[in-house]
Amino acid sequence: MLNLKGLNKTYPPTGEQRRDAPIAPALRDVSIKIERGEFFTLLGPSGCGKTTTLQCIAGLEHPSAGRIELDGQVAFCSKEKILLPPNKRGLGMVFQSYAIWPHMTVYENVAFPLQHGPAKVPGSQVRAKVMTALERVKLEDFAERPTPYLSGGQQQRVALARSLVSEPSIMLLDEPLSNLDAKLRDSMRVELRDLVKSLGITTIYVTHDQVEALSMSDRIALMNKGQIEQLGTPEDLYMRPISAFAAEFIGRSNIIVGSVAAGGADGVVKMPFGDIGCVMPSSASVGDRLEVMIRPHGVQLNTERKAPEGENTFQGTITHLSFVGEFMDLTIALIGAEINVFATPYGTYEVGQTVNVTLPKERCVAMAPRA
Amino acid sequence: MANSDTAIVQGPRARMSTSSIVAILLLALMVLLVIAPLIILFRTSLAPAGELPFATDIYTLDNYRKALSNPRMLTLIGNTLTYALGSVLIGVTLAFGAAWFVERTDMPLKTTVRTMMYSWMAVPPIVLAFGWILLANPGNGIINVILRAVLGIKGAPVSIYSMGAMIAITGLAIVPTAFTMIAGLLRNMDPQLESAGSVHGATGFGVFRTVTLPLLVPGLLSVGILLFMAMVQAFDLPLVIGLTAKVPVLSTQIFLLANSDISRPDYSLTATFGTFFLVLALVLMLIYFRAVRFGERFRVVTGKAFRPSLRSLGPWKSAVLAAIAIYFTIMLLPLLVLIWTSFLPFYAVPSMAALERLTIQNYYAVFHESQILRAMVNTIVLVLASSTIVMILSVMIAWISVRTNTRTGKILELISFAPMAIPPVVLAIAILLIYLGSPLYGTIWLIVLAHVTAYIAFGTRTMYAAILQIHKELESAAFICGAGWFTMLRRIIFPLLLPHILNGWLWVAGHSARDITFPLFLITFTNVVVASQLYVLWNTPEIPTAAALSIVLVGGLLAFVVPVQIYASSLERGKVPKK
Repeated sequence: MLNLKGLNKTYPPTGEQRRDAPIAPALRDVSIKIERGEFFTLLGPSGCGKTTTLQCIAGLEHPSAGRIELDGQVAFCSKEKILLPPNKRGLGMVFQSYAIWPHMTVYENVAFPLQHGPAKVPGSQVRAKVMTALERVKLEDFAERPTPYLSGGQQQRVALARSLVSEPSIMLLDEPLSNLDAKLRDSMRVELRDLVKSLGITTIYVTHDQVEALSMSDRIALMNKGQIEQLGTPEDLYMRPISAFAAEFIGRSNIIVGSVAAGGADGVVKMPFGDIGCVMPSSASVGDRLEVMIRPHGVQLNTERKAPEGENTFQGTITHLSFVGEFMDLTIALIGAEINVFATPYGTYEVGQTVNVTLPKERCVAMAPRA
Repeated sequence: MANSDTAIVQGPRARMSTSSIVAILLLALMVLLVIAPLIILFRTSLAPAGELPFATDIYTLDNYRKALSNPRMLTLIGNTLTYALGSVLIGVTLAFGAAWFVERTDMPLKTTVRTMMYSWMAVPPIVLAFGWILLANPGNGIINVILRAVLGIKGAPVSIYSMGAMIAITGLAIVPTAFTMIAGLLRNMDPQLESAGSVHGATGFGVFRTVTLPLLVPGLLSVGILLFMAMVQAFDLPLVIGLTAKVPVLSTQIFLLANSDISRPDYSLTATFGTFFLVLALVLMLIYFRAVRFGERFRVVTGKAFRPSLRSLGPWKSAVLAAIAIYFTIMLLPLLVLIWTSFLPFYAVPSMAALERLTIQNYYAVFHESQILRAMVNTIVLVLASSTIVMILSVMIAWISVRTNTRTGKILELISFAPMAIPPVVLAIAILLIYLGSPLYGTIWLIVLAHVTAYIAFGTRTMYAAILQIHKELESAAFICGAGWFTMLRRIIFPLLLPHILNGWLWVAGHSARDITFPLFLITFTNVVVASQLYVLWNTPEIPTAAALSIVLVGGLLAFVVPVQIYASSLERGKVPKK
């Protein structure tokens, strides 16, 4: 459906930089294949290249090298020298600022793609199509409203209606929820996903918000410094991050450094506080430095005063606690390491208390150490 | 994919093909309008005396030797600088006072003052000059007649024909322009900066001296230098007053050289003087840019909204109002005397006897003489065509230089700004030289072309600032929705910028109507406009007809400028902030 092959992009140096200063590329060999009807998210911190990728798909930016295919049509190819301008690509797009034209009414905004788009619609059908689009976003009563008098949420819906009205097969969403308040954001997440899914539109969603990415996407590409760090389902990214960057960007994590004592499926990592069993990547050999990641939610806690027993169970002391409401955020000192544990808020804990922690083997993820 | 939908990738930065093509076309046009005349000017300055640029292949420095060895060269430059400096000092001082009272005190009738100042731009300087000549010429100038009667003296107590009078009149005439600029400076200054001064113990005048004035100095300096540049290039008042007063400046000297009564015009020497003038203007331009960059450090335009704190005038209120009333009376005097003259069969000092001779035959003549009618039609064509063309080109050039990061955009921006540093007289000579033999010569369209070149710098500057305020995604959204470049301009940029475009359009229209530089240099029997016709009538002399035509011109401009201005500002007020 949507195929990005080896996209590279380097921005020209700006005036302030020295001419010979090395320029970090905005995109490095980004290749993604997106299926029809998929809800695909580009996730990453600011400056990671996610918006650049989206702009390249839209045609608002052009890669230095690579190939972009949209629905079987080549939109860009640096080898064959093909460049389809954005107004010929037939996409829908919602911008971060919504980009609602302030000099037009809601109706005029939504009718624009039908009047000027590549597939022009006869005048008699425009009204019906605009009203259908407005009904989809529940704004049918606002058609004649001047847009500056709409609230942020309503403007966002106008932008959505405008991008849907020409029934595009691909929809691009650039942080569409980032300007809404927290409550509205929660409800719009569900609404937005349901809407594009029910219409069967292939959606590319750009966000830096991990909650949006995890809750809405079929698949996520986590980007960092212009490259794809990890590509997979939300569960893949949360449960099985392949790098410390991925583990730390999505959710909270404990990362402990140790050295390999035994490799393979029954691998053992030597830690300052004892040995932990954990599934080892095949590349790891005895003596290698290694990082083990476990989520604070994954750690099991036992407050009974007894000697630690069982696999991956260690004794520690609570050094810090804070009541967050949904959980209790504990810091537990083990020998030579500190870990974060989220415990039930209904338990009773105090600083200085001795507890046993279990790091279940299947929840421990071994990762190559950072350089 | 080899169909028409695809374009060739020219480079990673290539944008849409339409705008790149337009950019190249615009660049070609701007080179033709701005660069070509300057090359011809320079070439002519190197040609043997009396030769036209296309008629010779000899290069010589004779003209430069001649110009430099001319003992009057220093006098000319001295006159030019004295005139410019004097008038700017008077203009900026008066304008600063008026702007201060209007923007920062509780003076009544502020809107009236602002409107009067703005409407004043509809009064061409040449009309003012005519009025002042009738008021203060040494012979039958009304002021002299009155002074002679009251004081019982002979001779002329005041004379319009002197450097001092020329400076004073120009100074008064540039007050409205300076007022608009300085009022903007004052309005954008955060009064909290001053409050901070008084909270920390400074007195009223102390705050003014230690906080307000230093903060305003960079802004005032750049306004002053900008006006100074304009006055160095000024042509109309030095022509009408300065020639009789025998104080030639560079611009009038060039006009005399190009329009010699006694011999064939010496275009090569004219071009040489033009080159000197151009260099002087360029130096001033560089100084201006240095000053502006220096001023950036003191930027007090924060962009956040604040309520201006107004100082109470108390008992001084009536004194301030009186001062402002006196200023407007002085400004109105020349118009009043022109109105008086326009109803007389021949010029006479106001008296009961003259009152009985009042007639409207001058206005009848204005609307029935074929040459004057032709001038009016030409003026309408000139004003509408040049302002519309300037604004359309300006929007496109500004968009390309703001939004595309290409070299074409940068060069386009630079070339379109260049006319700011080219004195109109120099540009006029250059255009004359290039088009002298062409079919365009003698048509009104040559003056349209000249005005487009002269005012494109103003147009692109204002549009550049306006486009910067438009969120880029508003345009991207139009592209994504399937609109092409021109559709995007028509449906998004033009409507969003309409108030700015209308204001710019008005400015160009007003300046195009009042300008006499290009119409006089390029004058033939067929392309006379009202401004040049006025000059011709005045020198014939048909003073009453000239007075009637002046009044018709001012009235026409007012009837045109004021409603459009009101419409534009109502558009702006009706608009909710864009972001």
